[in-house]
Amino acid sequence: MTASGADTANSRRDRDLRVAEAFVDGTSPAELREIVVREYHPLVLYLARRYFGRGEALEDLVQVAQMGLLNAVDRFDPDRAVQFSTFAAATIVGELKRHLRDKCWSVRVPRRLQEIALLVNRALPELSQTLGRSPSFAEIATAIGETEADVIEAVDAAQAFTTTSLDAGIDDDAQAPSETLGEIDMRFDLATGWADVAPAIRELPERERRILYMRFFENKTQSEIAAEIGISQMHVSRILTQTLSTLRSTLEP
Amino acid sequence: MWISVPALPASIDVLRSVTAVVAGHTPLGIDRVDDLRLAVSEGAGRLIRASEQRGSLRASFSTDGDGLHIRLALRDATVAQWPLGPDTDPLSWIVIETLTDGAEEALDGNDPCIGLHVSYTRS
Repeated sequence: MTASGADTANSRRDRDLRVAEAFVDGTSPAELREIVVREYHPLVLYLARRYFGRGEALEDLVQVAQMGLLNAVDRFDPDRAVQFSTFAAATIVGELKRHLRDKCWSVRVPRRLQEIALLVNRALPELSQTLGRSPSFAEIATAIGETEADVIEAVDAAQAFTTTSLDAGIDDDAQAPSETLGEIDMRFDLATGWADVAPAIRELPERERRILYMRFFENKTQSEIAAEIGISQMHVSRILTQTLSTLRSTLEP
Repeated sequence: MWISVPALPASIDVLRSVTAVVAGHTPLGIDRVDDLRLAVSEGAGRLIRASEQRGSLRASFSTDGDGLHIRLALRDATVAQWPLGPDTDPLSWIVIETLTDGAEEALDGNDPCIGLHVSYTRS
């Protein structure tokens, strides 16, 4: 669902009126938050999706947007001549931007490198589609107008970008792989070299299991996996690195 | 070019970053550069785990018209067995073989080493 589709101007106005009444008619704070969360869920989803594809899982962005909405409830002044939806959208966007800029970088990375990494993330899907293959760093650098050395450094730094929520599910809009989880688990159980870590693989979140399977059994590239699962290539790279590290730790004495 | 680091798990991150920088300046696509980082991590881990005493790890990089070659050599250390072969620590070998176009365990003089190759022509 998009804000422009299901969320028409009339329904937005009606919703703003309902919420405006709730702000002034003595509705308790808890009830008010409940009403706002229910009424503005489409706005939360719409804005979270606008910032998707920059290295964060959609589920995480929705949570951040939800927090932004609740902050908007706390900060909104109904006496000011501004509609709640306008105020909420600005607050949510602020929260999303702050989250992407600051909270996603577990190691402090210079802002310029963060910005280049985000540019790379945004450029990759179209560039890969145009070229019909994964682009080289020189090609990425040309496309986004940065130097090759800066792009390499930014992508390397992005490996520190680790707020991946390991329990996040697969994006509902993404195409579901044809194999069931049971079939995937069985393939790991029976495959030479994987059997030792098969119990640990069963403990992995569903998305991590599927990505591991797609890379090592279906031989899909990181870009292909990214497109299929609905996350960025850099995110797939980090998940593979973390997952292999997790499996390795289970083998250590 | 080459880089030498202590043969410790903490050094693997350094080797991964150096690999990314070297491979990033070749025609390899970003997917393959990431694959290579993972393969180098597994190769270095394999050598470190095989080592019976602390030595150093030397990663050498060379390119030709066909692709990028990386040689990871364990120096100043003893190992009980080398090559290990695919049946020892099979997970790391599967990862290395899947993510590269060629991998071998060999001896570089007396030093245990792993050679990795990725081709520019495979997407």
